Amino acid sequence: MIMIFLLILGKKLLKMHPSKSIIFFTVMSGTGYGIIICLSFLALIAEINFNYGFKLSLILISFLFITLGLLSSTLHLGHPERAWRSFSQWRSSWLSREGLAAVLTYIPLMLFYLLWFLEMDIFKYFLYSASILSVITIYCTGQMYASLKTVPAWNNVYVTPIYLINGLSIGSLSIYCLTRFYESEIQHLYQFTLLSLALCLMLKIIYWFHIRTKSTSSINTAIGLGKDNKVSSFEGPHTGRNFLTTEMINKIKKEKANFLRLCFIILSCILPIYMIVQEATLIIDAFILKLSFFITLVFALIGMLIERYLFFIQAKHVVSLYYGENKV
Amino acid sequence: MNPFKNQKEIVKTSPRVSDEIKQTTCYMCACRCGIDVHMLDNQIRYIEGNKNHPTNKGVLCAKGSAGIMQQNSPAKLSKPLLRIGERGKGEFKEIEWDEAMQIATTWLSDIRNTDPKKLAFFTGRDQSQSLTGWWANQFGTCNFAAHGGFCSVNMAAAGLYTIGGSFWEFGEVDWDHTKYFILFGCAEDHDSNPIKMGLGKLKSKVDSKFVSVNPVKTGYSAIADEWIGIRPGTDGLFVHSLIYELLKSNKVDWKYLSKYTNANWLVYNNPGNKKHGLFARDENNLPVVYCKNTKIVSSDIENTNSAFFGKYKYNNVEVIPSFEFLSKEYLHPKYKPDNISKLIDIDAKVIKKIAAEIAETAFEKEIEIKVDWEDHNGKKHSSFKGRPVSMHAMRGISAHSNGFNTCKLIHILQTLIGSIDVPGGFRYKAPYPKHVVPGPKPAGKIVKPNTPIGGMPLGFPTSPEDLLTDEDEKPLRIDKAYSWENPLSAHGLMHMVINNAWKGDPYKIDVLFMYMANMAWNSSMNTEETIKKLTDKDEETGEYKIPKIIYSDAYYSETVPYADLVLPDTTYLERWDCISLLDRPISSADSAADAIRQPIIEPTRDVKPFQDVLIDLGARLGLPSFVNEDMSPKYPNGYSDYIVNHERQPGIGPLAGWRGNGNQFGKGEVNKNQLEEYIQNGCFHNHEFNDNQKYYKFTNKHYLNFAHEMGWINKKEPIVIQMYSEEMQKFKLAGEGYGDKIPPDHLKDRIAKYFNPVPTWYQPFEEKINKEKGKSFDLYAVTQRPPHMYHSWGSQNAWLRQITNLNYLYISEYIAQENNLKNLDWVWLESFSSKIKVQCRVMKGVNKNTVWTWNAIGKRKGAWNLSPGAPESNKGFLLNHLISDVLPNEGNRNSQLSNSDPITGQAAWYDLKVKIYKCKDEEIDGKIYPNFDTIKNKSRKNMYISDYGKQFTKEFKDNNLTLNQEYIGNSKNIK
Amino acid sequence: MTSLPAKQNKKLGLVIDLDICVGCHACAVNCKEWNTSGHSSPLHDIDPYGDDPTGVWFNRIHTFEVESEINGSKTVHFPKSCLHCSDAPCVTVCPTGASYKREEDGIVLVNPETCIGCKLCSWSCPYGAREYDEEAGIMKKCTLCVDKIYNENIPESDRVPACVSTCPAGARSFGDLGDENSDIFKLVEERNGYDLMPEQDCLPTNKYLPPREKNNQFKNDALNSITNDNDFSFDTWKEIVEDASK
Ligand SMILES: Nc1nc2c(c(=O)[nH]1)N[C@H]1C(S)=C(S)[C@@H](COP(=O)(O)OP(=O)(O)OC[C@H]3O[C@@H](n4cnc5c(=O)[nH]c(N)nc54)[C@H](O)[C@@H]3O)O[C@H]1N2
Ligand SMILES: Nc1nc2c(c(=O)[nH]1)N[C@H]1C(S)=C(S)[C@@H](COP(=O)(O)OP(=O)(O)OC[C@H]3O[C@@H](n4cnc5c(=O)[nH]c(N)nc54)[C@H](O)[C@@H]3O)O[C@H]1N2
Ligand code: SF4
Ligand code: SF4
Ligand code: SF4
Ligand code: SF4
Ligand code: SF4
Ligand SMILES: [Mo]
Repeated sequence: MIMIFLLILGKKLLKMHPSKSIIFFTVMSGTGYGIIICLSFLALIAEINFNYGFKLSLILISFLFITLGLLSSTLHLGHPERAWRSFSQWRSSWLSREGLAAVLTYIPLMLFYLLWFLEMDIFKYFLYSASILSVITIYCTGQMYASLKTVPAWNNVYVTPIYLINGLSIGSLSIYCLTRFYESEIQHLYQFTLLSLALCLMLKIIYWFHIRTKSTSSINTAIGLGKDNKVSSFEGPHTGRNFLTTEMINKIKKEKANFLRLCFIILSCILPIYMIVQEATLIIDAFILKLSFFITLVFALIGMLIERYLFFIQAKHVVSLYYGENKV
Repeated sequence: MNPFKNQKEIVKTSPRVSDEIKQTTCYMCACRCGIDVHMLDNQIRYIEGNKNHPTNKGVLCAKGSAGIMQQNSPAKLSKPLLRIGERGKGEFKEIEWDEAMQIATTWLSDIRNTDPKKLAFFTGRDQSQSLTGWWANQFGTCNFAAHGGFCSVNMAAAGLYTIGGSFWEFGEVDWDHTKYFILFGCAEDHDSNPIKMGLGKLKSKVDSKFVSVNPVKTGYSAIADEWIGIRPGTDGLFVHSLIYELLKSNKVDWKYLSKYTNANWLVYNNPGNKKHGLFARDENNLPVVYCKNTKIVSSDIENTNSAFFGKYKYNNVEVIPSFEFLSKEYLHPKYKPDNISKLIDIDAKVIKKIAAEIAETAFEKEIEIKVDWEDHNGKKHSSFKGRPVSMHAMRGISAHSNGFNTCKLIHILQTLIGSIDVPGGFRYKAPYPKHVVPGPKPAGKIVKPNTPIGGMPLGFPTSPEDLLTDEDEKPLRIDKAYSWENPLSAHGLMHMVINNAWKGDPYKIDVLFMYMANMAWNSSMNTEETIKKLTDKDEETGEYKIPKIIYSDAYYSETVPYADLVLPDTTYLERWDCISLLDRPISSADSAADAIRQPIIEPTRDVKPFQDVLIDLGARLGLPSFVNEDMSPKYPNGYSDYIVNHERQPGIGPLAGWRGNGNQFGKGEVNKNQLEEYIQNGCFHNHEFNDNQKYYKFTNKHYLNFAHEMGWINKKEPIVIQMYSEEMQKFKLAGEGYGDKIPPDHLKDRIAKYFNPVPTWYQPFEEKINKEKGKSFDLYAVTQRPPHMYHSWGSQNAWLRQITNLNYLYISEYIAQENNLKNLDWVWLESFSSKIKVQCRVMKGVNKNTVWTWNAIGKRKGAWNLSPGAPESNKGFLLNHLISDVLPNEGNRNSQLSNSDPITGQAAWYDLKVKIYKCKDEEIDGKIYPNFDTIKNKSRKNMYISDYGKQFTKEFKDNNLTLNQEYIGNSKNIK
Repeated sequence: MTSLPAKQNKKLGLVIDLDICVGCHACAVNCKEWNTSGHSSPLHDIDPYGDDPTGVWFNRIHTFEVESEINGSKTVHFPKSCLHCSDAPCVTVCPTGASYKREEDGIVLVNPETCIGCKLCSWSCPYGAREYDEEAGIMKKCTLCVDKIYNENIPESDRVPACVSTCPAGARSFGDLGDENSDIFKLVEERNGYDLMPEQDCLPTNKYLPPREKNNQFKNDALNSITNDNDFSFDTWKEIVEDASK
């Protein structure tokens, strides 16, 4: 039932703007980076030498997530073959910085993978540097949105931390689920994961409260004919759609948004926390344990996709003021 | 390539724009602006306005700017088509031109040899009426007209029967000098660009005011300084009320009235006599006036104080000055603002204020242009004095069954304050003014095999004797034009042809030949029924009731599938054309101008210009003016040949410029190089009048002499404005039973009632009849032209249809509230004859009892090469389905009268009355009703991407250069 | 780098007069016509004759109804294209430098050769002035007709943006808004030209002129009837008028 529901939901989401690849990218690569960052924290305070299978899975998962994410974001460009040009503007553009940081991350990251796999101790330094670069990458992603004045829901101090904490929480959850899978334990991971999941939930709720306040732009400033006049859109420039209405003016009903918010909270925060905390009481059979944590992770990822979808769809761009919206 | 390096763009600021600029005349609408077509590698790079052109002076509207996409339309026809399936199914066989011409010739010559009136030749948006009308005359059928009857003949006729010129495109506002401008019921008009330029100019002056009288506040009305949101059909009352205020306060230009109008002419006042209400005339047949000193004298004698009032005796009969009659009528207390207010939805205070403002501007802000000029008496004046109040009106007035009278009322108002053809007022455009009533009478009383009808089929009757009726007073023409049903139908009644031909009323025809009119869709009233009539068969014979239909269109319109033979035309960029002073010229008030179109690109399809085809057909049929004595074609090279070589009268041909040896204007021998001269000059000729000819043209000696010389008027005498119309009175008398020719009984009252020597308002028919029948259709429904669409053509245009490809029904907040409606609700809109299901939107700027929509956005599925799922066909709709072509039966026998003005036969589109109610949930399917089936078009092409311009991309690699300048629009004239 | 030019000698831009714009879309269509064969050629149209046609436009006309307490409702046509902002966020967010503001005249352009089509600039523009061309995969926008206003192949008098020269109402003006002595600058001063969404801090170059309020130029609200209004008699009226008409 739930699966069918999610499938339908997924299909619907895919059909919708904003660009699926951005949603996919930010969630996937965020998770991948999250894994690396989480690992580096763990490395700071504990031993992270696990068995090969476990390591290999971590390496593969983080690498794939990061790379798939990056690839998808590159492929969604109008001209992917020109992507290399995006390094040139690191002085002014967060997107350029993000791209640069993402690519730079690969250098220590690959070395870390290799050395870790070879069990050479210096892997830690590469892990730390990869992790720092991952933070920078996510930070750039966050800043890219946070610095857009045109979208009041993004233009605030919560967005970047949310990007970071989302990555971290789902990253550590991934590791946690893997430990269940490989039946191993990592010191402090339990607390770390719970903490980041809780933080993730908290920040998001604060954020949602925050974005209820409206911005300074209104239809009155947009067309500039008197502060107190009642302005309504009579006819748009096209009776059909255009680039702006397709790309930036997405409408979602309040009830639906609230429902999706709830989905996120449950799938990405409550469910994992519940699973982690209640693990002992819940599960008897090892196979079921593995399966349920696998499902938990998948659900959490879906929750994250939903969160990201909401992030975009609920972000009202000021241009919508020209298309019938009275305030953003 | 260093990824960290910024690659700077080198912008090529001087790409090639054209190898050649070809100039011609736009025909994305009837405004006929001059265009510069930039050709690059033999393709169109850019179309812009011709800066030197008198009409548009360099500007270009949205339609004109989309000409490239008109030329690129995949809906263009490409080959003559012969119907092989059932009519309306779109099953055709492509045939060669030879075969097509043979078929047409056979069909037509049969008719011509037996009964030429069995050909009904109706041409819609025809800009070559002087050719097509001439052709009909030569063929010998009386059944010819163009689209004027369903368009705005009320404006033309009301003007020509009153002031000798008219609104529409035949006159214009003195934009440079006017200070107070009232626009009645106009959204676009044919003077599309000039009006916009004028409004920009006017609004930029500080001491000006622009008032728009219109139930809807969009477009021009949106920028009006004051919007009068009038109730449709009641402008006549509003004007009555203004006249009442002005008269009552003595705000009248008496001098003007006495000199230039018939206000002081004496009329017989002896009711019951057949001369009652006609002008008293002296032995020279001249009207007479009463002067204190000289008593009764002929009106052409220079007199200073003729009487406007009083009762006198002439030949022992009581006579009164026509003005006494007029003012008495207009001062009736029923026209008091307080009594009118409720009927027109305008506050009495507002009416009074507008009247006061008109008076103040006219009489206290008089202007003067210093020029020496002479009036017709040879009296010298040193300046043109002007009352800077101007008016313009269009279909909001004309498309009502009281439009003729309402338009006349506006002319009376203008005349009372002396603002016709004076600085700051309304001005005639050449070849107007003409003497009231102008020109020839309609020809066609006698129709004989193989014989021309001896004149142009359209003209201006002045008395019942001029009507085209038989001895039983029955109509002679298929559209019943010039019959007792609509005596002054100066442009015919194209909207009645299909109905009448189908009914065989007054008789059956054999061939319906149409050109450039989408009669199976947006130009028909009651489209659904019209389509049925086109395909209806006679039960006995199994033949179509309208046996043969020939149609010329350039595109796959809704009408194409209903033709038996389709003659594919070129686009406007592919042919010769002539915009003639004999027809609908492009003159302004300052100059007489005409223009041509020249082919600027070769058609890549097997199509021919319709005019060429018509001339060829004329030759094949042996029509006298189209063949030489040896029966060889007279104009073997087609229309361009005709344009140059045809002479209507000696020395007068389609084009007035560069005649004779090349420097004669108006009259002169044929000049073989005429077209080259036009092309050299941007495809137009503009004859600017001398400054002393520009105003007071009705009395201006130098103007009148010139106009006479040009053949525009047939006598040099002054043109007298007919505030009191004797012609109307003659018809009225006939209606009352006086005279030699009287209407059939069932039309007597109608004639007597609606023909009045001084115009008055009456309730539009549909409303009146609904009321009498106790039916409540309380709301008014009208349409407006979108500025960027020309009727049905626009939707095939890839650019224009992106702006508007569906339409909503706009309703007032009041209607929304009363009917519990909100934006995007689906509603039923019902008239007495039909109903439609559409989507509504609520707006503020509309008269509270009015609903409206954009005209002709709705398209039939499959037409215009659009996909059947196109928004135009699923959400776009026409109001035409609700508009009946005939009036509800009034209970009289025989009285299936057309839904038209009783005087001119002008289609009363905007008389439509409706009610609105919300659709039930189960009725909502996201689509409009009626939803016609898809018409087949085998040639339909799919196209997913249009990348016009790609071919020119290569022009963009090069370097820089700097130079720029300022350009200030109209806003400059501030302060 | 995609930073904005340090100093701007010239600020070429448009001034749009909302007092006389009749909303005819001429400027929008003529813009498309010029530019589909211009610097950013072609401006693709997708599904042009189908169910869901859409395409690239640099200029669009909106219509609003503005209701004020005192003046009632007013319909306002509102054309909008790129405002060539002095502090253009669309330039600074661009990762490739494809989006740039010209030093010499302040025109904001997109280099079609280097744009990667990431669309970020379109998100940064408050005015919706950037147009992604789906088919070409790059961002496009109003070029201020850079290939017309300097074009040596056309007469000097034609070197103004297409939307300006075509506007039938004369509602559009073009010039250097950075030059305090220019007519266009004075026009803006005189007519209280204003910025759209000043709170977005983009410092747009283009200005809008508000509809003029024409204060009452007339002396009287109603005419003075020459006869007694209440029991009006035609004959009395006639007598008074008869004298006057002489
Ligand atoms: N509800 C409602 N109905 C109305 C009106 C209204 O206001 N409201 N207005 C009425 C008025 S005033 C008018 S004038 C009519 C107009 O109605 P129509 O006269 O039917 O005008 P168009 O839609 O322009 O169609 C003319 C036909 O000419 C064809 N055509 C275009 N260019 C060429 C060409 O170069 N050569 C040839 N041979 N054909 C060509 C087109 O393809 C089209 O089929 O509509 C009337 N109908
Ligand atoms: N862009 C464009 N231009 C065109 C055309 C086109 O299709 N597109 N068609 C051409 C043709 S054929 C014609 S005939 C002309 C017509 O030009 P217009 O006369 O401007 O035609 P409409 O658009 O029908 O405008 C009628 C106006 O009258 C208003 N109205 C309706 N009923 C009443 C009334 O009772 N009283 C008053 N005061 N107003 C009323 C309507 O709201 C509308 O604004 O335009 C020509 N120009
Ligand atoms: S008004 Fe527009 S469409 Fe009509 S002729 Fe002029 S430019 Fe062409
Ligand atoms: S062309 Fe001029 S009047 Fe028409 S919409 Fe554009 S700015 Fe307004
Ligand atoms: S209007 Fe938008 S696209 Fe134009 S310069 Fe300003 S921010 Fe950039
Ligand atoms: S879409 Fe092109 S111009 Fe816009 S930010 Fe991306 S690379 Fe720059
Ligand atoms: S300046 Fe040029 S590119 Fe910009 S809106 Fe005007 S016509 Fe279009
Ligand atoms: Mo018309």
